[in-house]
Amino acid sequence: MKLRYPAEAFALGIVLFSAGMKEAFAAGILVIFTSVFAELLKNLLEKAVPTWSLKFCVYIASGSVCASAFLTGFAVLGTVLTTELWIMVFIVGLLCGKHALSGNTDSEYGELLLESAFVWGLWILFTVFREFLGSGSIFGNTVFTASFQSKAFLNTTFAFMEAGLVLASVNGILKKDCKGMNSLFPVVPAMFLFHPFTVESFAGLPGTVWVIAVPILLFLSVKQTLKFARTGRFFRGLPVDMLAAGFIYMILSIY
Amino acid sequence: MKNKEVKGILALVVVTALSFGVIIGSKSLAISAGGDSAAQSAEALEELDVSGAENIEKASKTSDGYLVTVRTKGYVGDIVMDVAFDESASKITGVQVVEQSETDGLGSKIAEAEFLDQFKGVEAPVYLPGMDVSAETDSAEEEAAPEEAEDLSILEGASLADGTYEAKTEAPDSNGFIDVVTLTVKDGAITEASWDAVTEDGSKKSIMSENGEYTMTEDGLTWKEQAEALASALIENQSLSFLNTDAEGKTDAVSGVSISVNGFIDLAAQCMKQAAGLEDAPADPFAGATLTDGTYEAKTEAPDSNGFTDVVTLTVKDGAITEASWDAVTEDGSKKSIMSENGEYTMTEDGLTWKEQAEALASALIENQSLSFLNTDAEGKTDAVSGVSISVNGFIDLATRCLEEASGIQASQPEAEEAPEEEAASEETADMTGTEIDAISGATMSSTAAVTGINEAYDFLQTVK
Repeated sequence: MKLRYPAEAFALGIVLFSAGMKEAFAAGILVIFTSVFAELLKNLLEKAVPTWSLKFCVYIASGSVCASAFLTGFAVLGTVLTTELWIMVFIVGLLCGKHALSGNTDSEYGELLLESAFVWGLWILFTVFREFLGSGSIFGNTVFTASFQSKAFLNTTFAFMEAGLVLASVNGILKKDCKGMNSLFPVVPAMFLFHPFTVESFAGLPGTVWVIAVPILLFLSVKQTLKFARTGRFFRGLPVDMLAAGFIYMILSIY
Repeated sequence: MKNKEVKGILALVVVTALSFGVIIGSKSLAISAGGDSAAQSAEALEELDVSGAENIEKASKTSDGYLVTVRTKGYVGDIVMDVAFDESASKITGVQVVEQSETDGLGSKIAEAEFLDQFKGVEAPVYLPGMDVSAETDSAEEEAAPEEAEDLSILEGASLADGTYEAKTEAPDSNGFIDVVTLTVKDGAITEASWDAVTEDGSKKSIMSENGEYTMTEDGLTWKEQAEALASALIENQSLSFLNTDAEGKTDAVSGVSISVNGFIDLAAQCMKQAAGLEDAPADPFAGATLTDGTYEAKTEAPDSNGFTDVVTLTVKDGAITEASWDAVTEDGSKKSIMSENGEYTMTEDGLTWKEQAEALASALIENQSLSFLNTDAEGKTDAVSGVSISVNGFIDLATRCLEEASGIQASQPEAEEAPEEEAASEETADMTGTEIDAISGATMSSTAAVTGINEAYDFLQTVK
């Protein structure tokens, strides 16, 4: 059973936009929109142009459409999309394009939308839970505050974990797995953007390289080990890798 | 084959061109959708001199008013804002956050339209609920602090009467916090002490500091830990004289404490003075008064936000309060006591119902024959009656009115006479020009920083004008 929804794009999207329900709500629908657009473009050009041109066209178009859709959508919502985030959503678009080109969707738009809707729904559900635990709010409105709430729940650590849990839950519901998905595509860009710790002893470029390289190397090491782990079918691959990235961030954020 | 290659190149060129078009189009759409403030559309006609103006980065006169770029210190880092004013330099026409690094999902909301739209078309200065816009207050308080410190010597060796004493600041500080210090004296010695600060919405600084919403340093003690360390040191020393402070109100007498301790010293000294009999605890105006027999009723003039009108009834027989009741009634006649019994008005999952709490209060009043036992905190809550967790200010006010009627004594009159300055101050606050702005929930520091920056821009323009 092929995975119709773009799991890698959703994984990166969840890491980027899961601290608040409003962002999750908007980001989810924009990822679905980009996936459909990428699939449509691929089907449109597939027979008319050579493979190399098709790949370039789909990547460029889905990346720019995704970035533009996020920019406009978030501006309407009144949320600031920084340049770094804008680049990241461009990468989300590239991942949507990659999924379309992989042929997993097979022009099955109905299944693509259905599976994506499950991801979107769970993305929002888990985000509501995180937002509440982090700030006592839902959709930006304070419900109630209590001592057990901590803004640590809004950190990247829990964003990675949420991505892993959402994908595993969807796989469980749809009885599918993330076979053939490469977790490096969503994880590495996220690690470039979000740093789990800071280095005071050497600032500037060496410090930045260090704070990016350490989590990536640790992740590669854990990913290698996880290949031999007996994880459940629905967790195997991308979901468990995202959970591992979360735990790596949790450990590194101590320093 | 060659034809397909040409088509491929053409398709790539078209897609790339369209992609650039889409990106450029979306950028202009984004600006018109989210960043349509006057700050962006205004064209500078004349640059204003900002040399010597602290935190003001740039200022200019525009075709429709003024535009000021101000930098202010936020919770995480600096916040840079463009603040646009109309030609009178007093009405804000738009605010845009140019740069900020506040906490995602909390402080970062200062850059969102929901917060910034509050400033459009309002009169400056702006302030948050409970925030004091007059800088004079702070300086006056700072000047008063040394005098308080000098008074501490009179507490040395004073014998303290057993009881629980509480003191709190009269007005919230610039962040909206009211400091509260509570001391418990047993067998003439201080056995318990606590220091906390509460906002108008009931948020406690101790809990906020535990949750990381109110941080002092990256790796030092939290505010709560520092407040507890101070309280423990006071219990250990049984005196405030060990707390030597510098010009900023900081002390090196307690390890790990880096916050300003003047507030704690002032309030703890007030508690100790009460315990030593040097400062009168709130006196009972009805002490010794003869109550005329009869039934007295008092109710609030207007319903509260939930539509309830509070009613307190007291019955006096043989000069003593024999019956008391407190209830609240809606316009359609529904009683809060009955609603709470039926589960339609619940306070807590497992605590007493509203009716039971109201009855407990009424019984305590009959038992004590006075209201003086009802000490309240900043939220109007009391620990004087077991199981009562509701705000009792309404009950106290109405019961006081009943007692005034029964005794013929106007309890509130002397207070008004004794505190003309306070009255004048409150009148001044009422007259104060400016606009109240809602803070972002859970991000008081970032909201305050934004408001402060806007007021600095306003102050700068007033000096230029």
